[in-house]
Amino acid sequence: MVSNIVAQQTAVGASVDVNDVSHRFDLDGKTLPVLNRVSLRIEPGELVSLLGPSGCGKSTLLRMVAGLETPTVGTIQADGARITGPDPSRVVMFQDPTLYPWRTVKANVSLGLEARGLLRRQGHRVDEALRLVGLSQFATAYPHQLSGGMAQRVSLARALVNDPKLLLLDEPLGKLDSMTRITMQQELVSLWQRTGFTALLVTHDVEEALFMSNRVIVLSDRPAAIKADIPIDLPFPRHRGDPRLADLRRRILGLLGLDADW
Amino acid sequence: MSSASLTHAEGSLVDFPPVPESRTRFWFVGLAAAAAWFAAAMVIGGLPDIDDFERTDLLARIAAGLAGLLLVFSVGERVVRFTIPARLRRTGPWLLLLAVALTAWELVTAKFAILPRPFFASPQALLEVFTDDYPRLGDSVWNSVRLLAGGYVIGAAAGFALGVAIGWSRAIGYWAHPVLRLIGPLPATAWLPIAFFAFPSSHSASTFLIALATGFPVTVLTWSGVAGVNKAFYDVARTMGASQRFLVLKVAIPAAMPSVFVGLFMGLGASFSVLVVAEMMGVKSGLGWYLQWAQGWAAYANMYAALLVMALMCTGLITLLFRLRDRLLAWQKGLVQW
Amino acid sequence: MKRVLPWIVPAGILLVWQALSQFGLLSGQVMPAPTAVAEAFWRVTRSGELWRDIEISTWRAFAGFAIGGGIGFALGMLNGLSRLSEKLTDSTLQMVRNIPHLALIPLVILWFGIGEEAKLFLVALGVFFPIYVNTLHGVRSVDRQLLEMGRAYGMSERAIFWRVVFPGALPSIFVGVRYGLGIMWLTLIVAETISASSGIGFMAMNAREFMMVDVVVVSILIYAALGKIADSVARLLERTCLAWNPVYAEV
Ligand SMILES: Nc1ncnc2c1ncn2[C@@H]1O[C@H](COP(=O)(O)OP(=O)(O)OP(=O)(O)O)[C@@H](O)[C@H]1O
Ligand SMILES: [Mg+2]
Repeated sequence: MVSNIVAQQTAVGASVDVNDVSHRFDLDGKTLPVLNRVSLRIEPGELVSLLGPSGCGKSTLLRMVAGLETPTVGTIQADGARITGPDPSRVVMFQDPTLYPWRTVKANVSLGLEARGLLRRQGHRVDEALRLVGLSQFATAYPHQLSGGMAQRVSLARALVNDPKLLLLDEPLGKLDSMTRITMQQELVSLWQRTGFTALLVTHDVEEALFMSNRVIVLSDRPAAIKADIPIDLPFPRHRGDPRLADLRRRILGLLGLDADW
Repeated sequence: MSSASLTHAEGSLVDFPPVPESRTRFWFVGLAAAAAWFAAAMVIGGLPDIDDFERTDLLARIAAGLAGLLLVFSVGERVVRFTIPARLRRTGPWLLLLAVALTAWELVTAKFAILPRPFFASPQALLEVFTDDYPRLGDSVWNSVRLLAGGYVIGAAAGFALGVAIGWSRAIGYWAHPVLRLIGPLPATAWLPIAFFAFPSSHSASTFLIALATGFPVTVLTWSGVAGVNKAFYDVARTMGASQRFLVLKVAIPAAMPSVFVGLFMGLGASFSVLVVAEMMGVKSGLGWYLQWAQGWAAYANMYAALLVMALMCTGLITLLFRLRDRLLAWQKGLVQW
Repeated sequence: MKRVLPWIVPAGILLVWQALSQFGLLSGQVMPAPTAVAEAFWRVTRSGELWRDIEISTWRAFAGFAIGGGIGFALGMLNGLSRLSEKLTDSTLQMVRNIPHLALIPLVILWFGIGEEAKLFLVALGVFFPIYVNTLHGVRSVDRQLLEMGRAYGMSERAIFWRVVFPGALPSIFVGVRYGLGIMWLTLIVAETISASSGIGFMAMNAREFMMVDVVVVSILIYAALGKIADSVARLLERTCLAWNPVYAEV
């Protein structure tokens, strides 16, 4: 049961090049260095996780890749072209679903198409995206009538409808309960496998990173630099009890400064 | 199909069958109200008036008619297959109270003149105003509504546009802020004398004043609404390729609407005050002028009648605005308690 | 510098206005030049007329505010604390609220004549509603859990009122006070314009009769200043009384 939206997109994801990026914020007249010479290449179709201490600059890096922020030093490229601003081919899914409360579920999912004036011609894709996340029945509901997990799924549908070549996920499952979270992790992985977009996932959860990604990048404390770049060459679907994952987990927790003896 | 399939059964939206309505209880309140109105009719028609009022009979007949209607409604439900509209049922206690209040009012004015005489008008005197002076009264209402609507629409539209501009553009906000700070604390009525000088006609001056009284709160609240929009809402739309135009029309404005409506309500209240004063002081028409005219003749009954009409008019307009808000902001239900 | 810059626009308007009047493009009958207004201000100040009028207007404003605000506060508290009292009075009050109180001017004149009572009554009535509504709302929105906690600790009803209910309702009451202050001036202006033999509104009215537009403008400016001062004082009070509340800590 592979729907059209998926079939169309066997076109592969984008590659991302982060070239020696450093960034500073102005905080009350003082400068706050957030990123320190970060360089990174993400191959088309990869799912890469970013791990790091709170406040180190993960979200900032993600916002830069999205084009919502411009790095102070260095450049970022998508498919070799420099990123200067937001583009519908790179869609962000935030920690909060950030659905518009005044729009129905369907209208929320239509957002991207409507913003680019494509709704008339490609409106059917909205229904497909909703079907993909299993919320067709809730098309006319308002966001406040949804559960947290459902809202996050609408947010996913809203991202997918844009046919992204690069999906940027900023702790998308951070606020869900652990059961919904595990289900959504599986759903995201299977979706990614079927469609082939590139994905950059920011998370706090080492397990989540290990379960979902090809590579885990560990950042240092602020200003963040890359501490380790760990490939995870295990096939999907993965098993949470896999001893190799347990080893990796211990190693990563060690890198994050947590003794993983327990 | 793998367990990771995205097609989840989220529980179907069950249509609950309508709850079978239990046989409604007899409408005792309705019967009681019928009795009360009947008693009112007896008091009005039966006891002698202290003075000759022309409309005593008519008033008694109206009260008796109401009593009859209520009787038919409350008893008829039992006899013929017929259900009392829920709305009518809910107003039952009020109808009862109204009858009691009318009787009391009748007794202390028309029948025994316990309240000082010229200052308090009797119910039949009020009724007489409505039956005899309705052309003038109706005309006044029409003129008031026209003047108010003109000023209010202009003020609300201008305030809305200005508020969006100030909230959206830092540059405009920067320059407009001091101007608003200067004229903000000045009550709209303070402009009265100068407005009547500066404008060619009292009608245009009043329209300006009403627009001003409306525009200020609408501007401020639209502005704060737009400025308070969750920044993440913009980020979402921007990553999906939204233009500035889209961000203003489809993100900023809908998100600010609840706040805009607070401004519209405040503006409506303020515009009533300005309307009345403008009509008293300059425009020679409308309910404000009617009140002034009645004062000249010391016609208390006309004054009370006009105040009653004004209360109805204001309540009606406010209700209208509430309806509009409920329609436009239906999505807000369940988010906030109204 | 950044804070001064935006005031250039109002200053510019003033300059243009002056220039227009100077070259006769703006009739003094419609809008007197700023310098003419300043002159008028000087004139009425010197004659001592202005101070007397300000004094009487301020007195009326605050006496009316105290009466209307006091009753509104008391009734708001009462209805907030007692369901019975609310049932009895609230819907009646809400109905009366929809009539703009200024519409009562002709009636009030017939009732009281044009004495002081008429003006006090109107101001008090205008101020009553915002204070009543906001006090009621404030009491109603006091955290129920805090009340329960007070009871659990065995605080007396008196102590609960002064330590829990009143401070909890205070932010909302201040909203009412600031709103009421606005209505206070608005009402007084009209009341003095329509029926008075002293006060700033009378000064404006009198000047209007004699076509002294400059004095009219002076009186408008004085109303603006008085309104601004009253609002600033209320804000200051608000900030000192509500220092514990983080919303009011800054700005
Ligand atoms: N717009 C901004 N202005 C000033 N400082 C900012 C801004 N955005 C972020 N920062 C600062 O940059 C630092 C990194 O923020 P960022 O949101 O990227 O952290 P993070 O790694 O995503 O943290 P978390 O894991 O807790 O979400 C923080 O110290 C924050 O205070
Ligand atoms: Mg973050």
